Amino acid sequence: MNVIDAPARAEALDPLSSFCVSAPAGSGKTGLLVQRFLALLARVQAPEQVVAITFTRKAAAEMRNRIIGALKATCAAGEALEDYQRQTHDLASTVARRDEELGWGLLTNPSRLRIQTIDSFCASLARQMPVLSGSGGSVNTTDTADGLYRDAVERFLQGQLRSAESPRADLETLLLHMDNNWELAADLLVSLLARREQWQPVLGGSGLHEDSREVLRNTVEELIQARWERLQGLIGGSWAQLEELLEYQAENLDQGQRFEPGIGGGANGLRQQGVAVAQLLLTKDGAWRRQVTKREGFPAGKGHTAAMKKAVMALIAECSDSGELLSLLREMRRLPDVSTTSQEWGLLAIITRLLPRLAAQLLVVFQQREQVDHSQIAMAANEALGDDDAPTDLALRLDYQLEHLLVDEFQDTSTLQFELIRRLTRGWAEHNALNVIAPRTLFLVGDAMQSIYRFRQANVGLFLKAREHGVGDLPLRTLDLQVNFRSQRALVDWSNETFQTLFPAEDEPSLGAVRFSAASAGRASAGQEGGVKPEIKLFAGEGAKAAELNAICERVHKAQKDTGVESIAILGRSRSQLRPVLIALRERGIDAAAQELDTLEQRQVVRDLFTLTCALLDQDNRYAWLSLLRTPSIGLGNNDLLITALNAPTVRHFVAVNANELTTWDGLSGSAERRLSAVRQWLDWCQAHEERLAPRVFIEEAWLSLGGAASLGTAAEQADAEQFYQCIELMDRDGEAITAKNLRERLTKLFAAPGGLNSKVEVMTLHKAKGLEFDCVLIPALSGGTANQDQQLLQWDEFVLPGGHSTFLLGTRPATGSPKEGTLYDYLQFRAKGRQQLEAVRLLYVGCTRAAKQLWLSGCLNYDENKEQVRPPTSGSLLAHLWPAIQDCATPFLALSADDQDAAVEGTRYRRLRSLPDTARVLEPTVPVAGVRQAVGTDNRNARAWGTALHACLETLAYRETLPAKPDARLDAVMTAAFGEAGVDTGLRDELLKRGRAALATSLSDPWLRYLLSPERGKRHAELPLTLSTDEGAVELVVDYCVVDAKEGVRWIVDYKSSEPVEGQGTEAFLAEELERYQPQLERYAEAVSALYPEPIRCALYFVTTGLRKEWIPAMHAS
Amino acid sequence: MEETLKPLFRHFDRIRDGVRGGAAVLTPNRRLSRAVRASLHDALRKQGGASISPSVLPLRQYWIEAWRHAVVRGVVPPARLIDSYGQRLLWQKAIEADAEGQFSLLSSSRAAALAQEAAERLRLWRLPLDAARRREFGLTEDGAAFLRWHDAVAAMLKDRGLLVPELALEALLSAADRPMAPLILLETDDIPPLYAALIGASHPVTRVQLFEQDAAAVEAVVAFDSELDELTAAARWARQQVMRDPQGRYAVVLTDMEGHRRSFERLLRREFNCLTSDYGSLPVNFSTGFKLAEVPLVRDALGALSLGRTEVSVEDSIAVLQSRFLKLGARNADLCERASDELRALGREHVPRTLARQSLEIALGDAPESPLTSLASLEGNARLLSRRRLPSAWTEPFAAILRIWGWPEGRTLDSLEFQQVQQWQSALDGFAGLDGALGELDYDEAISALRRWLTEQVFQPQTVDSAVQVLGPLETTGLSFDGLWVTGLSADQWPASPRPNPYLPHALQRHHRMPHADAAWEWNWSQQRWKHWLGQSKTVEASFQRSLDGSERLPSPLLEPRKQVVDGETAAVDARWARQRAQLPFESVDAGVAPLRDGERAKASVGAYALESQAACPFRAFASERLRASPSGDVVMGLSPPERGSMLHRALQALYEPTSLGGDGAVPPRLTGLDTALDAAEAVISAPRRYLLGVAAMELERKRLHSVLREWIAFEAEHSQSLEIVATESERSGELSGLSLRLRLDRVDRDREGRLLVVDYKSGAGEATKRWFDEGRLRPQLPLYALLEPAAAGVATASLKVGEMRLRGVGDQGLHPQLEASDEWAQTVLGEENGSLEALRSFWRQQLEQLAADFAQGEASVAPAYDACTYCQRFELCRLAEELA
Ligand code: SF4
Repeated sequence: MNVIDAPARAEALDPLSSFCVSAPAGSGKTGLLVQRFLALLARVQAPEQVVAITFTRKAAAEMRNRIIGALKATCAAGEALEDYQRQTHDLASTVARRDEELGWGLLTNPSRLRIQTIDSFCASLARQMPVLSGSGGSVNTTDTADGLYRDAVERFLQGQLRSAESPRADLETLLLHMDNNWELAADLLVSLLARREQWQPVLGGSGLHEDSREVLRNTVEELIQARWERLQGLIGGSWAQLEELLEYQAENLDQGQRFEPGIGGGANGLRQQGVAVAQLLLTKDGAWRRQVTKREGFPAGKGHTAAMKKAVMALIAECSDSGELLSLLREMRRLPDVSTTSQEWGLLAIITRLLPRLAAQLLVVFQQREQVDHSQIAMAANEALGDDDAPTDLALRLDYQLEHLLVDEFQDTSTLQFELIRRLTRGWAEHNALNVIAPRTLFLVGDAMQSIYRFRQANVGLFLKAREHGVGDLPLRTLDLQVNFRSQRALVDWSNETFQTLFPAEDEPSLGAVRFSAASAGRASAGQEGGVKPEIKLFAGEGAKAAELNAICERVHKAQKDTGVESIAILGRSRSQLRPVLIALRERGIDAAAQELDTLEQRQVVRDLFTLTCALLDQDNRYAWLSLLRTPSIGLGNNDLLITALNAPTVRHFVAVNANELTTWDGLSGSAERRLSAVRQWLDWCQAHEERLAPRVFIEEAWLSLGGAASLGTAAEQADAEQFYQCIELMDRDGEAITAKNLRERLTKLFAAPGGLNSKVEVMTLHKAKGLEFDCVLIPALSGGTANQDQQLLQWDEFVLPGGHSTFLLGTRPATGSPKEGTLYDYLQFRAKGRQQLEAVRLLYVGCTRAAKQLWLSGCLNYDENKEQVRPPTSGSLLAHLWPAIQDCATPFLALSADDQDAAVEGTRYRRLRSLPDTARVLEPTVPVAGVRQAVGTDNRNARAWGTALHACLETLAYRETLPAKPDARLDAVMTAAFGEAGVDTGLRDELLKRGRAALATSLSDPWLRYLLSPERGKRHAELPLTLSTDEGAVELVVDYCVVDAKEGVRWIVDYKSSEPVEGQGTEAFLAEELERYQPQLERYAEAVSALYPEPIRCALYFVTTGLRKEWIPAMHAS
Repeated sequence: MEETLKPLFRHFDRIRDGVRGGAAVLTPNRRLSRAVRASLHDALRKQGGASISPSVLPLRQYWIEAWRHAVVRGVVPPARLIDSYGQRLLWQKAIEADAEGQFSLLSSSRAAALAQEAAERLRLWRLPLDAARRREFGLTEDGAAFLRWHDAVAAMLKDRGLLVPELALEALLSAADRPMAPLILLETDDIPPLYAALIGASHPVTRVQLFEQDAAAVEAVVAFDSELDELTAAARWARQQVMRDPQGRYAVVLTDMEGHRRSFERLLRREFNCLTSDYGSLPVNFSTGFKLAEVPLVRDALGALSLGRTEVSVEDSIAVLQSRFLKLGARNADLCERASDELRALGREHVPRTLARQSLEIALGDAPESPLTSLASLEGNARLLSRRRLPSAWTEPFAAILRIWGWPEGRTLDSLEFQQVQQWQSALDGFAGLDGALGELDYDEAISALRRWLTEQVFQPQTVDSAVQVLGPLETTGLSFDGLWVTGLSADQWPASPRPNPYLPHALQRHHRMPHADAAWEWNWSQQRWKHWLGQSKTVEASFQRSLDGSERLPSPLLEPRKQVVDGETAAVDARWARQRAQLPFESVDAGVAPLRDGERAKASVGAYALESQAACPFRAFASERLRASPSGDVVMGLSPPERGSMLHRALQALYEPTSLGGDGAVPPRLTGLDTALDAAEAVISAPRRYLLGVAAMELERKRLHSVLREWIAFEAEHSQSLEIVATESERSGELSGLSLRLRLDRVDRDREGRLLVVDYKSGAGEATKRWFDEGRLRPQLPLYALLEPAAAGVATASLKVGEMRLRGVGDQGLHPQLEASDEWAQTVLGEENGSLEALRSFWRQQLEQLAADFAQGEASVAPAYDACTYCQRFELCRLAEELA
């Protein structure tokens, strides 16, 4: 098949060039990345020199698997392949040869392929340069860092308020501005922390920065300047004329009303002039003027007057073709006042002083919790690469020189990520100039039209910037893919036609505006030529919503029956808009997989498990206990619940209740009494097993005893329950306390099982659908709006200024009653709205291009009964954006009255188990273990250490060349080391050392011991290890000292003891007692020794501190 | 059972002679040492008698023992060795000292671990940091930092008289008359140069390889859809093996031991039916245990000790009341509930010790026998909490505190718990041995250090030797099995990506073949593992998880290309779950009504809030007013909204109190009264809360209130000369449908004509006035005012919001110059002539009586109005989600 963009696709494989490629929906982007990756692999020394960065783990895995697949396929014969496959096959074969040549072993070691997400790439940089990056080593990264931010904010608020004057006063002002509402302030600061990669480069993050007001002011000035220049550029040749008109206008206007050019030059002057231009050309509502009158300074008349009037209209006519000029003029009117000394600037100064401190606080939290967010890792990676003055020598650090970098989904890059890529490729241009045949290359792929992740700090302007200016000083060639292999022709044509008008006409990086580029269908259509056009359904009137839901369900039903449709997706902007659709589908028995719509925490089955867990873990939790009594297992009615609450409001109360007592509870129903007494028994079981089983097992067993699993009606509920249990298991594994708070936090972060396993219908958000493809796509509820962000306390935005550098601005909401005009806040709000609108169109585009064969769009409109016509959609809805393109062709279906579904509910019914399962637990009493020492103390340790030290000394003495007369320094050293290792109380060490010396002195002066220890005794064994076979199996023994007395012809077994007679105890009594205790043990030694050595044996207990001794002939010789 | 199991070590004949000749056996790990020793015992038992026990030890341990021996024999000087943990503590100290002011690492403990590992590797590879190497390190910032830390640690070691084991071994190696024993080396590939040198200097050395080339063949690798499926299948396999041949030896290798140990144990227990009752009879040994710090018994000990910290965690304090291991005697359930509530009401995660104890005192009492009393006197006597001590000196105070809490006597210990107590003891001994590494600590530091230490200690339940072994990839070495299952054999794990130590130059690591240095090392290592497994067992099963996070995974290339991939089974739902689902039928019942009981009626009087709840959602009224069941709220930063509300009310009350108004009660009040009013407002907040919030925060709220009040005063001053305040915070009572009612009117004003206006203060923008007229969903506060002050000619809400002061309500025309009529009132009533308030009153009366009657009847249907749920959140209790499903 010959595709029209084939030349571009071929060019993209040129390994000598760097590219920025636009790859619209369905254009086979991954395939292209795979090919280029292979093409580059064929040219490097080590596979690690080519790095590909993807947006998701899934994309990385897909790309890796496809490359491995291609490499494997080289073994197979390569015939009868399509173009793309043949080409891939050829590229892979070249790589296979190189692999062979250089011994890479890619197929045996595929982890050598460096294809990873940006997060994991950053993490690996940070890990490899632990000090440079400030990471220290690999650190745990969390996807949901809100808890960390909140912690930092709380400490910050508390800490700063207790601090010295200046930060404290700042914070006070800020808090008072927010009505001293800490939660509000916290939310705000948390959201700022989440975005700190945007402001930290501007305001600093080390906590040492001063007021950055000047920085912001300069930014604004630069911005105004840039806007002004752009305005001049756009008006171009007519500028002189414009100035003339302005002057003329000024002359005709009253003082005060009229604008005087040139008041205070500088940014403010420009701003005011800009406003004047805008006022000349635009109406109040921001539309091109259709006429000018005396009021605008153009009185009616003849001659010059008429000419001037004509000239204005001509100028407007000339300008009105340019959409960009229109939006620029609108922007002009909102540009902020720089000269102002308003409250806003005061507050800004404060915020810019506080934020770096807050960031420093966050760092402390990261350190203490040993957990960080992805931004921190990205910043660390950036840090590790060094700034331009001191770039890090990567070749030295990364083990492999990075030669080629490929980046997917580049339109979703954030400023920080862009900077990372810039730093990685720093110096490449220079290098390439000297290495023309082996240049380093950068390959960026993306689709600006699909940039929908602004809320994740994606900045589509960067993609546009890269296309225009390259990255750093590395120039990029731009390529545009056009062919959409996914969708049928009719859909492609419709989307071209429609979105052409909805997208702005020009790219505008600083606003994130992207123009549309048309696609061409690359896919043959089944059946009718070109396939079917999208269906657009509108509904109006009171019953519109119900009618829409009905129609959707019917449409889905139809698609289900269509054998040509294998997958159906219902996409929506937000979860709340999709929920009614899901309910409607289920009501009609249409099974659908709800992808990430509900959190686990919202499911009743999980709530019941949560309740059970809380009731079991916290005996004083009244709410959990009473909720437990309402779960289907126990299911008390209201009256019984009340009576229980009055008599035993907590588990602790209830376990104190005797089962017979239940009969005395006034008013308790018979069935409740039965159930409660079963619960009473159940609690006994629980209390005995709590903390003895793994938490998950404990909860699951307890739950099963109550018949909890009976509630699992669907596979999804089963999966939800299992996920809950896994959550408990994970908390256990991570050593996290299983408390209500921690558990709930985890459950709200997890999504409930989608269900609809065997259904081809899926329901998900538009964002989630990105990158996916379905045969039939429905996008309902287009008329729904989004959360209103007008009231936000702060507005902020990132800018790419014409010079190419990115910067950041923020503004605070003016206090109630103060004017908004001229504030940064107002300007930023204006921009935010603009960006939001642009992104909404792109979102719609993403949704529509998911469809391969069929597309359905629907929404509701309000109906004006008086005028008997529909009202246009509310602004902010997706439908409002689509409206210009469809208003003429879509006739709404009128559903004027709504069925009243609010039938009054009589009482509340609920489900309960008919009876509890018959698994009453038999409680086995715990078998007590004897001898738990009541006293938990340290005496033992000191005593043991003292014994060990003495043994060590005696052991060394056994090996001395000459036996010292009294304890010497070497023995001291042995004792000291032993005490240290055993952790003897420091205070006791000197004392013990002294006692040790004394004991050793006693022993060393004992002729008996000296005799046995002296070197003349020949073969001596200290600490002799023996194994003895006994009836209970082999046992291991260690004999303190074993020596042959040749004179006597006996072999001694000596066991050292550090004990001594207690006060008042006679020597004999003491020795007798000790003998009784240790004789069996020494007899065993004797048995083992006698099996090995021929000499007759003597045993002795030797008491080191006193020099006492007890000798005997072991039993086996005695007999 | 033990006797009947086949041995794990099946090559005894290959070492028998050597051992008889007095050779020591060196193994790569402890597990193999144990297996070898078991075989030795077995042989001895068969033959009877005794023998000198040979040394059978893991490589490293053997050489350390050898060094100790040399010390005893005076061949090398004695020294105190410091283990890796102690070293890591010193490294961390060095790093933190170095980092001060210059830079700050995100994780100094991680840095310490890596740097310590790096230093250890250098020593094991015998690569001293000579001048040339120092220059090489100095080239990078990371290397330079490493050098600085290294030198600092060396200085500390010297200072404290500590020796790292490798240097001790170097001393051993260079000692002239070092004792020498013959060695048998089992399966020790990749021996680091230091050990290799020690071995090289020994004589004779026999090397024994314990696996047979490709003894087992693997036909296919099994691909599972999920982790759970894979582990379930492995557990089932294990049981089948044991059933088939109970004397055989089987092993399951978990690639991710840490991640899967718990779930795998559970699955095994389920298979072998030992989940609860036969807990002790699971025929499985695990190679890893649990962190001692997280074992419930030890966790509770740490929790009790933590109550002495300066800042105490609220959850820890509550946990003390729940602990099964502390002996606190029978507690009064009411008081325990109150104590928990009070702790939570502090609204913080951490609070100062004294505050936490005050709350606990509610439950534990302050009698002499209360643990809190003993604790206080212990702490007082010994200046326990303020003095710095060495770890060894802390252990006794810790013990004393635990004795006070009656730990661990709260319950009769079972054998596992008994083992835990024992290990706690020895862990404390170990902690005492950290004097050199930790130095003197205060109480807080000591508790943290103890916790960290206990986290490093592993609690390994003692079990009998069993048929099934669950092992990490390295722990199989040298053992023999009748069946082996290796999990997690996916391409991304086998081989894994290299992980060179970032503190050592890559080239150096690669050149010396240090662990994880590069892809080649990883591949060799993986291949060796695989070769071993194939050679160690009669059969080998291989499996992996096919998809992860929705993306496909490939099988490890180790298995390729011969192996076929087959689909593993999807784990069936737990049979018990399925059974309950099938066998336990449900019935649908009416929740019914719970009319007020006599006791309740006698005690309670109903306020505005109860009726408001009744209107918003009848079940909510039932739950909150009668069951008194509320989920515990989130921790709020700063003052909570109710606290701020009551401060405002109190301030206004004080401001307009007839006594503060001068004789005639005329408004406007003097601004001079503001300070007193603010003082009164502050006093509304409980002392502990005020303490927690801090002076500055309270001060700030004062400032805010000050400006609110000033603005309000100014607002009122414009027109209210004509008004007189007759009452503030005035109590009223009445009856509605037989219910006694009680509430306070915020303020009552009287105009010159004697007409009364009741004013309700609101701190926000005020409520939607629509709901004063909403049939069935009435917002009852203002209507109640109107009923309880029958003489009122108007009722109004004053919203005190800076910039938006207003007074809205209903009332006779001209009653109050600033009174804005609510829209609804204006539209429907105001147009008509007099008497309209009466009409409204009777509407209200009828509505309120209905609400009150419903409340008294216990009408409690789950029927939320508007956003009632947002402020209620009793979903667990009301089961709203079930209703909707
Ligand atoms: S959560 Fe909603 S439905 Fe449930 S009791 Fe509260 S208000 Fe009623």
